[in-house]
Amino acid sequence: MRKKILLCDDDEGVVEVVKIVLAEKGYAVEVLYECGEIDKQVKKIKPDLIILDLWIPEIGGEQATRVLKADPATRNIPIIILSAHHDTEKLAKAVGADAFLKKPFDITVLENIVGKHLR
Amino acid sequence: MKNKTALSETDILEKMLDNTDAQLAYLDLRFNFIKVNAAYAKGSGYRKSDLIGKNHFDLFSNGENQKIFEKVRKTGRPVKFRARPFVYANRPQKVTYWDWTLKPVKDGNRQLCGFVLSLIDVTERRELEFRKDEFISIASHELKTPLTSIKAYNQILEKIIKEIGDRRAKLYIERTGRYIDELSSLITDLLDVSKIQSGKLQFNLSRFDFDELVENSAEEAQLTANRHAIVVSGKIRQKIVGDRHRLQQVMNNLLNNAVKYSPGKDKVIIRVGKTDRFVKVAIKDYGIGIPKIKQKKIFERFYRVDTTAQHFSGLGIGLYISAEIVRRHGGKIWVVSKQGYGSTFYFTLPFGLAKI
Repeated sequence: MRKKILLCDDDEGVVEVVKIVLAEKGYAVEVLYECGEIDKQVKKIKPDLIILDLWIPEIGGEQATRVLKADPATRNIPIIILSAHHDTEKLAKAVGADAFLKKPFDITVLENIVGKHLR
Repeated sequence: MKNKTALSETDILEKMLDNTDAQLAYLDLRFNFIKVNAAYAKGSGYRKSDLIGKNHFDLFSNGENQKIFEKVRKTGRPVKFRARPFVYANRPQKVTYWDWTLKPVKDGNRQLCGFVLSLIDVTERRELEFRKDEFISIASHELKTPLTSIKAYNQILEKIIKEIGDRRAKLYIERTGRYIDELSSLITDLLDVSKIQSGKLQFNLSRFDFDELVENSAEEAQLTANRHAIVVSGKIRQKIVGDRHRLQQVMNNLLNNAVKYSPGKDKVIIRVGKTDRFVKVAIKDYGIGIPKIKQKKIFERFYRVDTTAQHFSGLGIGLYISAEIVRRHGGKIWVVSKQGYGSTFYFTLPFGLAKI
């Protein structure tokens, strides 16, 4: 079965190109432009992996990660945090993200991180 | 005929004092007001006549300031503060910021006889600076978002072109990639500056092989330097604690500068050594050098050595960021340079690091 990835980013341009990269690799991609009620959305979509922008509207990638990692139903889904601030890695890891990727990124690095966490 | 003026010299001085925005007061050795200007009286909320003869700390009780005043009296050395916060007792919700100085004054016998207190309200200037830094932070973030898409699309294109096998297209797309990375690092620098200003620059500490970091930096610099050989001499054979990424940024910045400011030369030398507590790195070029009077300023924000004869691009923030990173690691950074003969930038880092 194709692995499903949930992508949460408010920038249309970034969403578009990440979708292309992941689709090329054979993943199914679902998109959210804001992460209000993220736990409900995740339970509905049931992704195998989540890519979250740190500055996403509503509650922010940081808080969204906390919520998902605190819930037994979603805690095992790997989360990759994207951020334009490279020194937010500490914060991303502190709230429980499994990986951190700074913008702009190499698409091969994105592919590798996604591949690694879906294994 | 001598030009006669309607005002005496004292009157003129009085006029000058009363027509400046700086708040000025002269205090005697017990900190009693001897003279104040109009701005001082207005700022204090008292009339001039109500201030004269009164003790500064009877009117404006402030233990912290009193200690500072007493220290100036004891040492005879002036104090200077920039943008020091102050809260008026009757307006506790509003913080104001002041540049203030207290300078001791000596009489004809070189005996301390009083003090000049000077206060300048910089609240508005500080707000503007704050807004500017916030703007830089938002602007650089906004620039990074489209750049993320551009970079990703460029890499997708690169893959496609490799499959097709067009040699020229491959070359050009690789060049585009390099310029994208250059743009990205400029934006990152801008973001860093705004973070340093707001005290939010974060560090991720780890223990790592310093020699390896030096090698990597040299290799990376060599990729873009066509003419220069980047030579590494010395090893410390010891791990250090620090933010590897940030220290790499310092090395990259110093190496890029060394190459950039030595056009026509063919060598940049990195020397690495250690003392019992510090790693010491020297990066030497044989380029244009920096005039003595400008050497101190080069580590300041937005400062660029005026190069009217030759044009060098840059934002004037690389050394400012590097200095901040080194300083936060507990090290020092400085330059030794002679105009026309080249520059050597030095920095030190402690091996062990308690906290940054």
